[in-house]
Amino acid sequence: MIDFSKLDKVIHEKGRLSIMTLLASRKDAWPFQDLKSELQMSDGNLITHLRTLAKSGYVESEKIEGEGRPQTHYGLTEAGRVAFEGYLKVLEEILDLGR
Amino acid sequence: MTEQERAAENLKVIRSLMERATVYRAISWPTAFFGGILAIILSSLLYFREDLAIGGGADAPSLMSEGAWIVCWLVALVITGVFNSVLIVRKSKRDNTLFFSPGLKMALRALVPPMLVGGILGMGHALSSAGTAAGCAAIWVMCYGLALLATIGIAPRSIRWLGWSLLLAGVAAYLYVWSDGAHPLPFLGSFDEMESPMLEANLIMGLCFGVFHLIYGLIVMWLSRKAKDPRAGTR
Repeated sequence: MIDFSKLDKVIHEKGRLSIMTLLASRKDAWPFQDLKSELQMSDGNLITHLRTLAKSGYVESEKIEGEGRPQTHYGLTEAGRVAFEGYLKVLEEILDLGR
Repeated sequence: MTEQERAAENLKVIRSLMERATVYRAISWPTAFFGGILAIILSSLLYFREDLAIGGGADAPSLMSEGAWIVCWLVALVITGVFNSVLIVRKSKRDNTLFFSPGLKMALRALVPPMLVGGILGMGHALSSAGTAAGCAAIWVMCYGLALLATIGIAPRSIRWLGWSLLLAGVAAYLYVWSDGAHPLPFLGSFDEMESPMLEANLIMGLCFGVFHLIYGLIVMWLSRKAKDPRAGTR
């Protein structure tokens, strides 16, 4: 029997799941603008989700100052990677139950 | 929506985003450099050999057959392929990832069909009759350009530019080879032909597989060094 409460509520939301997926897809951190254009989210929406994920310790950010405007890069923390893998595992279990 | 349906929906989101986020550079800058220089050296050697043969004289080499010319370029392709594989193996060991990474598999699925068709079409064209090597070179360039463009979904912008440049150069080369007094091009007429189609073939190969790759390699090397500079910012 699958315990649906095992699904991480922070990740189990389409916007945050999309952010976690993109961050998990590459080793390098993602600039805010790249995340925004890939996910087609507004600045406000994206920043709110990123703050929620950061509050849970899943996402870390780094501000990079350069010649142009400073850019904030986002990446998964180790806890975020573990949580994402755990979430995927539970999803797969749920789907197996449905077959 | 049941929990199963929602789980399936979420997995679909994850899969499509993962695919979209995959960026795979089918040609690294060291491979482009290596292949470009090899193509320039080989095309120059074959060009001057042909030029000497046309000039005649007691010590002049004989004219090269289309078959021998194809073998020379296939050897160059294999050497470049081995060089690229060594780089991929080294990178996968360094990053502790698989040799056949998902990116490599997706790139191969896109690259192989047009390259296979182009390779066979070009060879068939060249071996069908004498004096057709230039047409073969143009077909190879066009199909290689198409192959690179087939990776467009996972390729960085520089590969798209290389693909388009090669495709357009291949089309121009093919029109040049095809047009003669009997087949003038609309608005352009026909061009002055070189002394031998083999000279034209080597020029096309040297320019497209040599110079284009060298320029691409230089640009990508500059971009990757810029990206490593933390002050420069983005990926």
